[in-house]
Amino acid sequence: MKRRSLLKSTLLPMIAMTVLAAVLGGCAGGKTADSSSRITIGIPQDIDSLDPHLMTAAGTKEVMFNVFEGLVKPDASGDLVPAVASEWTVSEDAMRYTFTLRDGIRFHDGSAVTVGDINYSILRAQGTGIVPALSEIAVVNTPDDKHVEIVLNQPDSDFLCNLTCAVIPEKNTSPETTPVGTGPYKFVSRSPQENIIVTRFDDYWGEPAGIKDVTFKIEANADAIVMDLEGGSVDMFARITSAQRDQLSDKFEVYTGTMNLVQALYLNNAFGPFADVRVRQALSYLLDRQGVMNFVSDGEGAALGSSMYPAFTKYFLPELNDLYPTDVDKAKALLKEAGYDEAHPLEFSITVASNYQQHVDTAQVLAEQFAVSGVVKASINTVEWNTWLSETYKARNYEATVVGVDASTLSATALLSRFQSDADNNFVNYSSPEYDKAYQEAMSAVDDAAKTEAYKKCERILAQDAASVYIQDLPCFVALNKKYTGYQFYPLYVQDVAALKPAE
Amino acid sequence: MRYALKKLISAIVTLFVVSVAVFFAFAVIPGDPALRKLGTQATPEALEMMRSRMGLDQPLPVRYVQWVAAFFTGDMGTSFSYDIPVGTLLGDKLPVTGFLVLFSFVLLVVLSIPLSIWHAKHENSRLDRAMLVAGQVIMAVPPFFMGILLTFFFGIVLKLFTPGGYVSWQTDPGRFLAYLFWPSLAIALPRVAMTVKLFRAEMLREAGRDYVRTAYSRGHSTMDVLYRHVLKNAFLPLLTFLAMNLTDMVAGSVVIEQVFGIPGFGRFLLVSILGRDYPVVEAIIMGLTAFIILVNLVTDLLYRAIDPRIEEAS
Repeated sequence: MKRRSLLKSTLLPMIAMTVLAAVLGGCAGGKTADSSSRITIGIPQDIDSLDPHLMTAAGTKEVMFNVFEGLVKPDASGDLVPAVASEWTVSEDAMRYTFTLRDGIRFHDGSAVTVGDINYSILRAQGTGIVPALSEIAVVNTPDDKHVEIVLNQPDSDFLCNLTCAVIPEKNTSPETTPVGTGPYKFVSRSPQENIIVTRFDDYWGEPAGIKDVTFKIEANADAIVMDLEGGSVDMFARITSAQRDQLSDKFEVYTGTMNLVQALYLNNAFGPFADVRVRQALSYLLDRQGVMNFVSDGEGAALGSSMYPAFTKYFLPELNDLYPTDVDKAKALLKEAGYDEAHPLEFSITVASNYQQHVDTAQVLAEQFAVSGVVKASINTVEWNTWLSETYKARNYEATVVGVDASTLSATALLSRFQSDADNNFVNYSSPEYDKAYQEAMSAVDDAAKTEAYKKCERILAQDAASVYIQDLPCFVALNKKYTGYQFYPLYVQDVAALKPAE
Repeated sequence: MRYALKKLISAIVTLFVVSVAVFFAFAVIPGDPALRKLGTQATPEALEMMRSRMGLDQPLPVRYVQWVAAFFTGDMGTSFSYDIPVGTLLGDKLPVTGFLVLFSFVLLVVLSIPLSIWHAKHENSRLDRAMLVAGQVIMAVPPFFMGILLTFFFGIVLKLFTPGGYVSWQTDPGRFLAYLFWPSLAIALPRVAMTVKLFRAEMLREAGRDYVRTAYSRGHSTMDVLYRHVLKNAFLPLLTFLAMNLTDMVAGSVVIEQVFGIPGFGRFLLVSILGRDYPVVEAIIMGLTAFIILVNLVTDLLYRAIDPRIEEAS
């Protein structure tokens, strides 16, 4: 009899609980919060910091763009527009930038923005060492309570783009946990690996946001994205693959743009064979860009011929795409000159980070395209992202690698400065006195036209030297539930949620 | 008493070995947490400062001793990625994985025991055989795939739940539990099939023994024989199997959390390994190890409580 009572006292309540849960599950599933005053946006990884002066991941900055603003901020067409500053002037010699504080602008906590806060924020950002360009600042002056003057230690007419760095209140002692900014959305809460919640800031100085409550939900599992979109737990996802796009139902609008990066087979110029410009050019002749795009992303993407992508309309040179038309014979001739033939093939390995499927796919197509010559044997070496960062990028211990390099600011320098011979981040070990000279020309030019011309010269040198095998700017597909509209692409990593609005 | 002492010593040795392995593993695999945190643009000075803030400028053995010493005072360090104490970070997520595993275990017990008894009673009936075949199929499906199937069928087709619609326990405990039902089912189902197969065989073996015939001859009813004798004897192997399953479920939850988008220990473990967030990884691994040791210890003790003969044998 004892057994039976055990059964009754433990098993039966357990069964009851299970049934109850199943019923509850049924109820929860039936309910759909269909209010256009809220949106859930899927993001592929958790943000790396809430402190605007410590965040480095592009995926963090694109989200927090909605919370923080600098003196200026980028707009969708790629211009810098006034934000915390309502206007500014630049001195003739491009060494003195003077900003006027916007009238009546407030932080999310309700306090007024002061010139002291601006001074504090710029010096704080400079102190963290994450944006090296800020070290150009010699001194920040606050002559009165409406103006801030930034004096540089060298002329730089492009410096404005670095002043998108966030303005935060000096009295906030814990920016890492309770971020306060001036953007269209204010921070509400964060749960690690789960979500970040923001809500519309009603005292925003500009156009108020179209949707009130926004949840950024972390979608760590890329395979679940389509199911979550279709099931309704996520309304938008900014970077789906072409395969996922094809699986989505017509409940979704898919916007097509580009990712704004330079995807290339970056060649370590210090690696024996790649020190020879003929070898680098030969690889460029073997590349068939359309072939890569067809395989990697259903034929979409924008071809590149140098370290610049088309969203930078001012600097982009489309003619460089045709510098090395696919020509196997020419490539073979160049390789022969350099001492490689069928009997002595050129052998090297392509290192690629395994978490970027597009780059892995690209590396595979490249290896095939190179093999057509019969003279080039490329092997593929996939590594984990951290290994790539420390071994390939920092230690420059590689032969060739496929990766996308993006721009952190709206300036050509973001994509060109790294190729100076002595640049800290010159991970391809490119070295050309001619390039260094052209880049210095661009730096010292104060006149905009002369500066632009010098940047273009840099691009041409990179292309002619075939510093790397430039491939494409990858396509970007954004899925947005048709309940919403107004998605805008930016030439930088930005998700402008304030521009979204409920569809009528 | 001696037995308990022996168990305790072996538990401490295991914990020590695991702690050394998990700590020094990160010295072997490449990756720099400071570079990971500050990004590719950071100046060398900023990187150096971050490394020293993370304590990475100290020699490895010193770091190990400091870590272990701090662990004893309950300080598990500060997460590199989140800049908050690991204890706070994981404490918030303990109920997530805890409930997931508990729920799966409850489902396992609730489904497998009555099912096994039914099977044993209706041995070789058509339904018995059909269900055994079905069980065989379910057993062969890995939990992550079971998760995908459940999501598709119950989430997308039948719309019984919203895929990815996880709600945290702080927000709404009811919806939290309701959402956990499906991942728990995905973890439990293959194990239910295994348990039924085992328990059914075990009961049938016991039912063929002499004492069962004796019991019948004394005039006991089938129900009585089954519940008072057979079940009691078949229960021991089942207990070990269930305990093994409980520890295994913890491992299974890592995968299932990923499939169902649940931010529990599994997600943190994966993300922290990829993000080189050493303190979080170390704390999770140590926690899981301690849990597994504890479950094994409790099983051993239970065993002896149920069947005193084991005491004499050891």
